[in-house]
Amino acid sequence: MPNFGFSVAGEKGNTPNPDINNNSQVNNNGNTPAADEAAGAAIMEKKKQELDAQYIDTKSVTISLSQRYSLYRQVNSKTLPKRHDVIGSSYNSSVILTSNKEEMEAYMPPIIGVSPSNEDFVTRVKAYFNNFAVVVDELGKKLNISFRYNHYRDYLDIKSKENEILSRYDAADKHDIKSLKEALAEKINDLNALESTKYKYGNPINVTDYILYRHCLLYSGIAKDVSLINSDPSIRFYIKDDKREAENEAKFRNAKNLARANYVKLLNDAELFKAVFIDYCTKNNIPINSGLAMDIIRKQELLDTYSTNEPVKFNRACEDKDIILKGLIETLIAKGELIRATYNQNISTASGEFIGANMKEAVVWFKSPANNAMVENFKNRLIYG
Amino acid sequence: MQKFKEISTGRYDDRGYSNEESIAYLQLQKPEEINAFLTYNYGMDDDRFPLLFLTEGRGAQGTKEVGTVEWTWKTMGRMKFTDFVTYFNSAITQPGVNGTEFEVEFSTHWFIEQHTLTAPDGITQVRIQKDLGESAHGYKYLLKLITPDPNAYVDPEHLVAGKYWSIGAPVVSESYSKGNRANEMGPGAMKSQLEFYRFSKEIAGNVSNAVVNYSFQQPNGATTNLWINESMRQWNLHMRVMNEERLWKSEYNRLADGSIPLKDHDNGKPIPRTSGMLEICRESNYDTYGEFLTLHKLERSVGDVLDRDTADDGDKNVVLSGGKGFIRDFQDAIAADAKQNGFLTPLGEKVIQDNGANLKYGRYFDSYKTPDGYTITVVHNGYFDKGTEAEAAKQNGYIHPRTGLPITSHQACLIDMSTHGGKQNVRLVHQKGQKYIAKVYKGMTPIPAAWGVGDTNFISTTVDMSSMEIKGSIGLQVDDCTKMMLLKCVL
Repeated sequence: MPNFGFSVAGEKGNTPNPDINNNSQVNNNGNTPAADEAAGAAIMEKKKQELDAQYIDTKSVTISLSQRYSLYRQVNSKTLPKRHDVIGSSYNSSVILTSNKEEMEAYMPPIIGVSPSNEDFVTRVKAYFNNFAVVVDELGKKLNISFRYNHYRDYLDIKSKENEILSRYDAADKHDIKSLKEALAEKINDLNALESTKYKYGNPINVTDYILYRHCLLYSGIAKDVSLINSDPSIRFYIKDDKREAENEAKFRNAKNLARANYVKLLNDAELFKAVFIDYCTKNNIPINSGLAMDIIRKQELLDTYSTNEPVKFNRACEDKDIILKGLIETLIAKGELIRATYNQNISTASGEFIGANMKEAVVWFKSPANNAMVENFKNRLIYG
Repeated sequence: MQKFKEISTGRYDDRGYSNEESIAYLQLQKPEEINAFLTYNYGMDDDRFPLLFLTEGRGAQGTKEVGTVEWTWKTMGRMKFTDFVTYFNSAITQPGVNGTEFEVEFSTHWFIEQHTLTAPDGITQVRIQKDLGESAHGYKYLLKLITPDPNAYVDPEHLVAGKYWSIGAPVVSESYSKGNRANEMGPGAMKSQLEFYRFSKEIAGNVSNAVVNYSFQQPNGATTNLWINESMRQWNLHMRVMNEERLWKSEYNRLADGSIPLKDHDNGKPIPRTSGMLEICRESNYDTYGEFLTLHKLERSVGDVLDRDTADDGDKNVVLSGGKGFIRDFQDAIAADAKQNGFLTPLGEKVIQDNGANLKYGRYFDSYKTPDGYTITVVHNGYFDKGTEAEAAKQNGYIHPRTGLPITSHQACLIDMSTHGGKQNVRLVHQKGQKYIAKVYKGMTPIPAAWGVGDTNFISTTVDMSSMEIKGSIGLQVDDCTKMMLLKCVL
């Protein structure tokens, strides 16, 4: 059984040492070992009580309209009656969710008003899943999916598993729609499997909302990742985790604040300003030579807007310890002193000497003491060339 | 396992023209066949055109000619008496307590000063003390609880954004009251547009007179051995299938600024597209069902649509036009409900019939009368079963797990075919002078009688070929789309 990072008395490696287990001795804290042990035991007991206590995980999700309206609606928006968008039922959701007998027996009786021992129970449960018709308007449909865990330790366990799934999804290759769909399918499958075990550890605060949430996870008309909306015309809604959304919003706000500070820092460091500006030009397909030729006010305007609109990218550039060196390399490429291959990222000298397969390798080459002379030579060419 | 003997497989020639090579390629001149009459395994493909049948098939009643590519029509919705909250200051925890007035913002200016409002609970009533005009979240009103109880206040839950309130009668003082205002609703204009099509049929050599060993059935029941007649039948079928399907699948493509991004590669001109039936249904009411269709779902989905913002002046007969899969689901939904209600004996007596010495099993429900008086009738829509999309769904394995039918078969459209003011709700629209133009590009190849034009001694090309060119305009007009709906099974 997991100990959640806490050692338990008597476990291997935690056995009290008989030589120092003497009440008369005083340790560095001014306490006797026995007093320490008692305090430790009290802490452990408290922790155990905390872990055994009931816990409510407060969560909500909102199902919003994807608001992809047809051009027919757009030209007739003032007169065409409001669209009636309904979350209906789906084959997979009905089959998958109702196949978990224990879970259905735990959640469904208060919703359908029939006990699991009733012969109509299965029929009524099936009917419930096939009768979904939830209207979603512009304000979205908020679902309370809070869950009351019988023990806090169960919450921690489920939470840790959920974080694993989410981390796996975050780290998955999602560079194109195929890989994104695969990663998402795995995530939804894993999340559903995890959710389907929760009935053993407690119960939802709002069972109706929770069951609808479970349906929404499997309903193909609801995008689980907003980047899918443009690729699939059958998607009418998207789901967002309000808590994570709020966290992301807070993170973005912090990034914006940090970007402000970084921008001010740039104004006092001409070399850093230039390097970050070169990075900006590279990322926005602005030829470096013409970018560098802009007057300083224009450059400041561009970087200021960039820091506001793309604070994360801007901060990453400002905090990159190699940004000045990368700026030098990009300038050398722009001036023709270095060559970047058209069909790959290989960087070489004008005479064909290989520098690196990409910018990262080029930075290593430039930092190598063995290449100091050549690096100085490049720098001089930029100054005097 | 039973194995069917394969006599012959269908062959396809996509060269885009017909000549002697086509006949040879299609192996139509193979001698010695036991039965020279071609069996049309798939019928004459004449059950594929429900929309054309409902519009063009009804002559002038189902069609309309317009002079321009775009056309407009007037619509009028139902008078509304509700509006929803867009903002309320949640810091006020007891709005209205001790007779205090409080501000609430609603989405429109529909509510009128001096009138009463009823909260979502249907009990709490307030009076609009002052219309504060346009605001950050819509329109702001100053409200006051009507009850004299000083402890009473409005539950803040009723003031959450999105909650609907309804307007009630105005109340004023006995004397010196001022007037208020009236809401009016005017007709709105809607617009759609035509799309244009071209079909070409090129023939060469003496194919017009080529005779093959097969007898092809003609639409009039006669048979022919002329290959060109069968070739023309196929071409006509292709055109009809394409035109039927465009009426379902087409999506309106003109931007709000009037431009059309889709351009013809040859001439750079814009290509307009009309709004098809599926788009109109999706934009009106769209619902899905799952493993089973239930009667409750049907009643709720269809009932919601029929009751929504519409004036019930019709005969309350509605038609659900569905694929075979949907028809089965409809039958199962009613049968399941009948069983659940214990109607087994009467149902059995109807379904199992005495057929003389034998029994016959099988009579099915095709309509249902809702408790509020609507009769929903299901009719078969071949497009969902046999259309090109259905064919592709079968080939791609998008099959319904229980029935084995293509998933497209498990859907239905609620199509309001009613007539208002003598005008059919759903009509085909054509452009005057461009409804259907058929011309022949005459070359050395004889013009077949099947083309329906006379032959002359003049030719317009020296090449040994002739071609038939078809151009036409077509659009779909739905006057009132409030009762249109798409209900489909999704996996």
